Amino acid sequence: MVWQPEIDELNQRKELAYKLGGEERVQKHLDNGKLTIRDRIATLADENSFRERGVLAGKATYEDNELVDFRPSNYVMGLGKINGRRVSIGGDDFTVRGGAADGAVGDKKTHQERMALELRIPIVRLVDGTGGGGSVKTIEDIGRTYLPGGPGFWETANDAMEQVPVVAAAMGSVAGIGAARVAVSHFSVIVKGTGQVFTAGPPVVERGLGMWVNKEDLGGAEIHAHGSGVCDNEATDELDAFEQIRIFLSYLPSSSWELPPHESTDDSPTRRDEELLSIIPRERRQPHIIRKLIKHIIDHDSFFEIGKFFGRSVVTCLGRIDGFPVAIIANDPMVVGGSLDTPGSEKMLKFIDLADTFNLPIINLVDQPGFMIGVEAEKAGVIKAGVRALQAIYQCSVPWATVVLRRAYGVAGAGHQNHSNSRWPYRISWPSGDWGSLPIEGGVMAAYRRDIEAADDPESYRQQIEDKLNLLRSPFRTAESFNIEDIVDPRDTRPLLAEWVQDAYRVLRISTLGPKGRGMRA
Amino acid sequence: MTDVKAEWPGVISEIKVSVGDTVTEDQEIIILESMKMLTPILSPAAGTVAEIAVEQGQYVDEGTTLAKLD
Repeated sequence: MVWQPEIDELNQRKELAYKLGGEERVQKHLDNGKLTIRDRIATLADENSFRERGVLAGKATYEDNELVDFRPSNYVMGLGKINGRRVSIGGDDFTVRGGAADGAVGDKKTHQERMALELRIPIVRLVDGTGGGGSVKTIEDIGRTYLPGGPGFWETANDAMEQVPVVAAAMGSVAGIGAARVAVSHFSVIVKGTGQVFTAGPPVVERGLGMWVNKEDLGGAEIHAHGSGVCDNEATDELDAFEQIRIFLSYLPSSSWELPPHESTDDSPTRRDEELLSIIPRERRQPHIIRKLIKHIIDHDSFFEIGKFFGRSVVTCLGRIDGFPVAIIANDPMVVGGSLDTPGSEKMLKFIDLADTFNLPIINLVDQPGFMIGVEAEKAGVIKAGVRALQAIYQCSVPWATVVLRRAYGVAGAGHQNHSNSRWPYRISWPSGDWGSLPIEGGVMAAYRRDIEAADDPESYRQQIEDKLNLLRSPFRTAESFNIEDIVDPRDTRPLLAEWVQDAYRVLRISTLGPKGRGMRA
Repeated sequence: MTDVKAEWPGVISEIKVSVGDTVTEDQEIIILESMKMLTPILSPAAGTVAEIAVEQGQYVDEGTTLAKLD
């Protein structure tokens, strides 16, 4: 009992910290439909798994050396478990100075990131705060202005992006460095209605641009999960955000030095779904439903889409085959015909880097008419964004499987895998395979313009050439010359990929893992 | 009033509803041919077709209003 008084004081101090910004501010926070940071962490992490670090940090007020008041630091963080696996979790306490940095004591944010890097475990950031410098009130407090820097954060942020999974949730109005902490991540989710992300909020926008806009229209889920690509996914509420974080992490290893975790499944690796035989329409101009197709191939209930509403001509999702996590890229013919446009290229680039960083084998399901064409696409810089995506393909070194479902055209279509002599990507095609530099329909006019224009009946002559070339279009002719290595029954796709994924994981197991050296930008 | 817009350029291949028709959410309103693909443009909400703003065979730019729903 020697140290009992100190233990009593420890407990008293913890109780004060648990009060966060005080009853009134906490109630207001709850009334806004938000959980407190402590409840957020408790809800996200496995039960009783959270081990806080720095609970005693805060601003204390003493009277006659007696502690009379305590305002806890507004960043709560520590170690916890998600699905039984160790993670670091931290988040802003909005009830103390709006989560702004001037309410922080000690650099707990950077501490969390360093801890995660040292332990090689994921970083979960529950962001609900504004800028790094806090408010301009800081100027009054310190009696001077300051040149902004923030070296601590960027140093760890860059290391984290190539070493451990970084997950961020925008759970309130998030500005400045808070917004940056959401954006510089492998997976970000914004809570619909209560989460907003912006470089600066409405008052600053009004002063700087003379424009009044409410915070939801400025940086809500509609902006950032449905167009800008700043947030990968939107969540219907905070619980949904936590569920998405848990699911995302379930596909990833704890660090880039490890393999993604295998999960047992009752779904047979040799399952052959009949639907696959008819899923691609015979009429070339008819689209198909790509998400349905993917689900016929991967394990039941293992579909987790990233960035559904951004760059929609490309679908990127995590899934499992025979229990092994894989990263799946597919083209969606329902959106700009499945062509690769600027947002689609950006999404694809980040997804490939993610898979490569965390040793996830990649499956590319190709139905690609080429880069998007036209004035708007050119203005959006499609070729620049596109070549960056292709560079990612040629940089990535994880096992890669290509299934040509239908079209593979042009430079974008050629980029369905790394064709370097040093690589052997597994490649198969369905009988619907249809490929070339240019599609015959448009290409005929470009290649035979002179002959067509000189003909007595140009239109019928053009048709004649098209018909002649179409007779040569069968993918079996391509297979004769071993230009496509195999054409398979679509129903065999899952069984074949289940064998491939075993090979892929064996190769990864005997490879030297760790950061790839190219770094990873958000 | 809800506008149904073209999200990318293309040619109106087929108009599948008429003014006065009741439509459900995600019902096919128009088929837009773009990148040699016949893409269904779906109704963003349930309602009644108040106006069809385009004709079959017409080229439309990205952002063009194709139809209006009440």
